[in-house]
Amino acid sequence: MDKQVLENRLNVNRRHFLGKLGLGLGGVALGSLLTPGLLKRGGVAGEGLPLGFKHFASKAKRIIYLFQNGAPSQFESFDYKPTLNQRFGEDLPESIRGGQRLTGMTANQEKFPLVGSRFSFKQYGDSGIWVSELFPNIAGIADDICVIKTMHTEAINHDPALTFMQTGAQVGNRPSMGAWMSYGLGSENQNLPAFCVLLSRGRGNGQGVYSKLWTNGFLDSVHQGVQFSSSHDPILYLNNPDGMDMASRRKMLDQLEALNHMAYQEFGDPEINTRIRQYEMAYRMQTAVPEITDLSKEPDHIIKLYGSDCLVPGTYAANCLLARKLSEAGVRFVQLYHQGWDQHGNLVGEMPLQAEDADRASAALITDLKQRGLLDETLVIWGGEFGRTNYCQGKLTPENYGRDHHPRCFSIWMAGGGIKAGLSYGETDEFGYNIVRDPVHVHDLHATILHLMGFDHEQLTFKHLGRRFRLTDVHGKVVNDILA
Amino acid sequence: MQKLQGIVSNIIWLLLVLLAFLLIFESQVVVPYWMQPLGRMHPMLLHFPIALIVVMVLLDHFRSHLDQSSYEKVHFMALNLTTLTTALSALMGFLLSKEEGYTSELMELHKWVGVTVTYLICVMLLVKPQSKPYKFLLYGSFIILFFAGHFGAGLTHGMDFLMEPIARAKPPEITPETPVFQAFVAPILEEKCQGCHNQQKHKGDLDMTTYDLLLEGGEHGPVLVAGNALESEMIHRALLPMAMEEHMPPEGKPQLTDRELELLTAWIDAGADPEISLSELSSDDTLYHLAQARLQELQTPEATSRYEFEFASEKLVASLNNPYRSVIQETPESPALNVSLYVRQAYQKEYLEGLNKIKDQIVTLNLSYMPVEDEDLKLVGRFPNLETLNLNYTNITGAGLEFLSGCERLKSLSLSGTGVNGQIAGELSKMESLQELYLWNTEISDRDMEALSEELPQVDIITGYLAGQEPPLPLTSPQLGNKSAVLAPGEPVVLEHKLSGVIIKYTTDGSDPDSVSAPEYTDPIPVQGYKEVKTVAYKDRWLTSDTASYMIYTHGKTPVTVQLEHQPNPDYPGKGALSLTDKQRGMISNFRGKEWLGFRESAFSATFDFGDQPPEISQVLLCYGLNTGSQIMSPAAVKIWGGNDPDNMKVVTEQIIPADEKGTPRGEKMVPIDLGSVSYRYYKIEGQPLARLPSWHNAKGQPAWLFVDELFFY
Repeated sequence: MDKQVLENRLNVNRRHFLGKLGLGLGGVALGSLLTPGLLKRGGVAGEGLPLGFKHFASKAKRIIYLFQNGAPSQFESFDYKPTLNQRFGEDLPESIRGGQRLTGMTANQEKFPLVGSRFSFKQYGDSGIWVSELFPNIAGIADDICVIKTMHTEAINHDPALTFMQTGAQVGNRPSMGAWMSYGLGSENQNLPAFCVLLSRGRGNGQGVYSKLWTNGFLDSVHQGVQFSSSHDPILYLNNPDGMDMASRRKMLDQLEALNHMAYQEFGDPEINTRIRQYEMAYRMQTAVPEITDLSKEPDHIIKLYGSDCLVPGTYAANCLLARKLSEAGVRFVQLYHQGWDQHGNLVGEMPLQAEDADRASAALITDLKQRGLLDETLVIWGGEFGRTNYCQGKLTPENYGRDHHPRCFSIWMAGGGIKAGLSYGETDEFGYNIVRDPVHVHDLHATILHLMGFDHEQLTFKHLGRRFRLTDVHGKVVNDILA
Repeated sequence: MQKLQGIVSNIIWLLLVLLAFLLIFESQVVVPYWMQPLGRMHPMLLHFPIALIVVMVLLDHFRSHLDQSSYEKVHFMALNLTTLTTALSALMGFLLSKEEGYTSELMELHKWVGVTVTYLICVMLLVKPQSKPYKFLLYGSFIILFFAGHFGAGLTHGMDFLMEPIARAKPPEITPETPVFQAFVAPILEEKCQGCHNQQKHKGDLDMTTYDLLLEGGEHGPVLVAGNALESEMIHRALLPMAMEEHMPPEGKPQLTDRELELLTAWIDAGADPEISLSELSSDDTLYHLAQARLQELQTPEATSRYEFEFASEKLVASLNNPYRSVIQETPESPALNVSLYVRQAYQKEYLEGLNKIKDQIVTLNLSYMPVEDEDLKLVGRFPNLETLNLNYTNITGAGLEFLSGCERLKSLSLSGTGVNGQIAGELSKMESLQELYLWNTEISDRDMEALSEELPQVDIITGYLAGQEPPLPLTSPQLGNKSAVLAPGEPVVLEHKLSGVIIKYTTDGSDPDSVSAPEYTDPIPVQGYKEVKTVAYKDRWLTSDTASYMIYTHGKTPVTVQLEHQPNPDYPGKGALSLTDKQRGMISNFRGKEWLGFRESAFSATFDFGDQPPEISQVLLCYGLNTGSQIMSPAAVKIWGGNDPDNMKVVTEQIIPADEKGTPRGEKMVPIDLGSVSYRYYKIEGQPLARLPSWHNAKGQPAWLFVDELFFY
């Protein structure tokens, strides 16, 4: 036995070493069978779940984001502050302002006279949510929505605030929320883009929107938002030109694919494959999109529900209706931007017009989703990029006033998939300047939206420039209290 | 023996490397479902190393009682078996840990202690038996293994399993007769409060473990005022904002949920009676409803949402996916599949038939807008686990609903926009599991709908938005259906309205169309020259639309060549002279476009050559843009020369254009100039930009722009 043991030890030679090494490699190879994502480029490095899967089961499958671009005033919509009416014209106490940074537009104002809403408020529904008279239709669906009165953000000007809201960063090089959804969940309907963008312009003072808001950032370019046109053809150049029929188009695409394939063989650039896939999708879109834009199946009263504006391409109402149709057809993320909410002056003149356009169609969308059994699985978000000041910008008269940008609190509402309906969440102080209970930061909102879609916001990442990026950067807490 | 030892040590080596690899790349490990049984053998196999290490310790103790060679043999066997089973159990344990529900601190502890002991035991193979390191390893791993086993048992049975019989009896079953305090209130306090307010650790001198102690309160006095929750310190503190120091439970600790807080509040408001039970409460009491809801929650087993059927193979799911049929597994842990068909035009019946291969796994099925017939529901009826079925806007009439009797778990059924009528009540009442029913925009009459909701009391019927609830709305104006306002030769004017049943009236003489005398649009309208088409839409129970006006041009007569006398401003060159006769009008909102030529310093002036056989021309249209804000104004004057010699033309006509008024909206304009009836070969046309902007303009006195995009000759 001793001899055996001795021999055993003597046998540790080169052959033995190579044998063990081989076995060791075998172990590694076996292990790699269980880690499918390990050697893939990009991928979800370090996240342990293949793409296209949710991290956990969730109710919401799709999102419609009704972005009210320009920042609608919370004081004339959902955050009722009678104190401001009582203290009309009084200077905003410094103790309330607390050193808040101001925009260049009011920083030089000598006084900050408080001003309350010119429009009356009432409580609606069983839930008793406060809504101003400017939004009678949204008031009518009060029991279907959850109003968050305590959103807050970091930026004080439109562009950084918008970019922050859409991408989780104020500088514009990160993927947009819709691109993250497309990346994480993939497409439900391969005949349409997973991320669609619709623009409209209201009658109020507008602010620009830029394509960087729906960028794919560092994600694969298939995740970029596809902007729909407001003309008769929502997707430009989708129809075959005169003299080209479907058969010859097919033939052309087949030849083109062969050529692209040759290019791929030569260069191995994955973007070439992306391009081939996009051509194929565009071809299928030629049949899918006319079905989406066809209104002939909509009964008359749907047009009444959304307002007859919905027959005019490029209006907010038409976009809401189109958003419903796209979402119904499996588009993961439909992003609307409705411009015209930037009431620095003449708020009393502009906001009613702006609200009139937005109110009916927004409420109609909720009603319409509900009657088709889709509201449960669709998350609808309505809101702007920041709030407006409780004091007047420019000249204050009893009849009219304006409001500047305010980042410390603003109101948005959400409805549908996984959201607690009929809830008014959070509370601001009586001046409507600071949050006193349950603040919701933009990162928290993002975390919550991702949660509703079935993602752990800390797990949905993409490795880029040596760092794993998330929509919520290194912040964000899910707001559990608003979940159903 | 030696050969066996070789094989065993190789296997152990392989397992150890594999384990190390998996631990390093743990975050990316995905355990396929067919491997899960291997992981689940961990609880069985782990007993071997435990027993064997005891044998090893005993062996070490009784070594002196055994003869050397039999000791060595037994030891050799025991050691190899121990290491092999240890490594195997560790690996299986790792696989098992990747299953759902094993993420906890205890799990981590068990894992790392287990891994440590595995590697320690395996090192024993390399050291000399009876050496000091050997003994150290043997006893070390014996002790650590004890902890690994204890943590593991804690995972399966719960950490307090061991001491449970001594610590306290199992909580009795909760019935409506159990006191509300004991059944619902105490568990909340135990979970959220007693961590800090107990006998050992009574922060703020408060112990909440019993009812009496709770009444006693803490250093700040009583925490509970029976009958007044808002005056009770414990509720008051829970309601304070999180940011405040006094908020309870403290920030970072598990918070009371809204439900829990409501229940506590209601119990205190109801008098904080420790004995009152659910059955003694009246049904209009808030506490009754809250407690009743909680009781129901406790009685419904969590397992109801779990699926009992098998996973479909990944390959099968992948093969069923195509652009028009998506089959999606929602989460990696769930075998449930969501299926949707898309694009009506691409629908084939086999897309539905093909789903039979995954009939057990389909949980939601979306067939909306597909041309699915009643007959096709036979195929759907074969899906026993279907919970959500969307048939909106399919071709079904309701006759096929009987085929759905096979879908015993159907919870949600959407029939909006289909031809179903009141007769579906019979079939629907047989669907026992049904909870939600969507019947918006169907043929069901109001009376049938009422009958239906009486027949299906447990079903939430959503009828949606109904017609006729709203005051009439204004219609939108009819729209021009032609691609361009410049018609191709022979093309008639097409007017459209997207709403069906709309009556379109129009005029082409510039008058406003009214509902009586204006012609109704039925067929496309042929036009000559240029026309202003005014149109309006009418419909019953809608307000009449605004009048829309469309300027329509035909090609007219086209010159052979065009020559510009002065070049346009270099910033707005358009396509040069070509832009003037390309039969395209631009949009003035895009005045940088290729259609527009911009002039300011020099006048617009161009010569048109109609060739050897000049046609007769009676009218010229000068088309220009107006955008007062951008200082783009109407021309001041237009002058036309004619002649057959380009160097010797005479003035045919000259026209002064009236000045633009303040507030004129921007748009594409034109000025018609009558020539009588002439047929010259050459025409020279000059448009003079306005020399000074009018006094109402905020740039008054400066020269204006003239933007020209087209000239038509009729």
